[in-house]
Amino acid sequence: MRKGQIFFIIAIVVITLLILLKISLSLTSILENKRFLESGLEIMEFQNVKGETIRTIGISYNLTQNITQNILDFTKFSRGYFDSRTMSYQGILVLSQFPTVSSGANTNMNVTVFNALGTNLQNLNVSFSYDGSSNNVTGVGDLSTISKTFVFNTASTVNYSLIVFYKTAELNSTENITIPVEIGKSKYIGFFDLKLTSDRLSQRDKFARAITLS
Amino acid sequence: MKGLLKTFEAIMAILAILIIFVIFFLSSQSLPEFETVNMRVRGFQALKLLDDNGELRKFVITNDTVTIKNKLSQILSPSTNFDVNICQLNCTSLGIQADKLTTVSYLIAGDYNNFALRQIILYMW
Repeated sequence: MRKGQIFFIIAIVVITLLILLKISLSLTSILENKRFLESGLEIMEFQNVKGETIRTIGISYNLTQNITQNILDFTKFSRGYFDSRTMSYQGILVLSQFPTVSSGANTNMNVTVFNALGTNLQNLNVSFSYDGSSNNVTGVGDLSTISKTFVFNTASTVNYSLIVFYKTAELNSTENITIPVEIGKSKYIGFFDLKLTSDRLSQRDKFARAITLS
Repeated sequence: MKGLLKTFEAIMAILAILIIFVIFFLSSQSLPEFETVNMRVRGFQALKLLDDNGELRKFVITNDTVTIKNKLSQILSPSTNFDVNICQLNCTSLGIQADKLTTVSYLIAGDYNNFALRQIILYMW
């Protein structure tokens, strides 16, 4: 083999190594890694807001302030924060509360539905399994609430259901929320269906919390 | 004549490597900035750690940014410059002028028996 040919062989080896190096430094995979990190941060931010939403019940527990109003205020605050970051925070909240239940006596349960879906509810129906009573409303605007008081009377521990149906221009949805009733207990039951959307990621979580107030 | 040919072949080999290098590595695409996103993740984790340890919200409610900064300085890297702003939604800028300035926010709804909507903005550079 001539010396000149050795130069060419070395050149081919070096070029192959350069190409392999370029492939391993693919811009696409680097961008993907960055996107992964940014998405991870958005997941943590969503967890932050969800955690604070639940915590609001505990924070408001001994206050004379209205627990429901505080949750609504925090949700609007979160919406404002994410709006300023060109992210979309939406959801629907069903917040129920009843005072200490006495055996065989009528108990009023206040139910508030908060529409934060970013669109009008064309129809909203809330019905209570205790007696089948219901409340039907049309045209509930974004960031609006609808409240209704249901009455129940029981002599023992029982689980009732609150069935919430809502319809928007895009979807129909039905939620079945368990209302655990115990004699001698006052409870707050929150149902949350929350969604955070950015140009990178869409996260949604649906959860309920029942908290004994006294 | 033989020596000249060898020199020519060597030059050709070098040129081939240079051309490949220019085509693959000197393109106009710039690599994305990783430092700021990493800083934001670390900043958020630091705020969450303080909160999980019960060392954040009581100082946020009293607007005690000095204590929060002292606690953050024990968590964040010494090479990270940072400042803290506590506000609600309409927050005034701290007017920091720095390259690679980035921020991350943490929301709280208050502390036990004290409902208070606050945003903690951590500036890092």
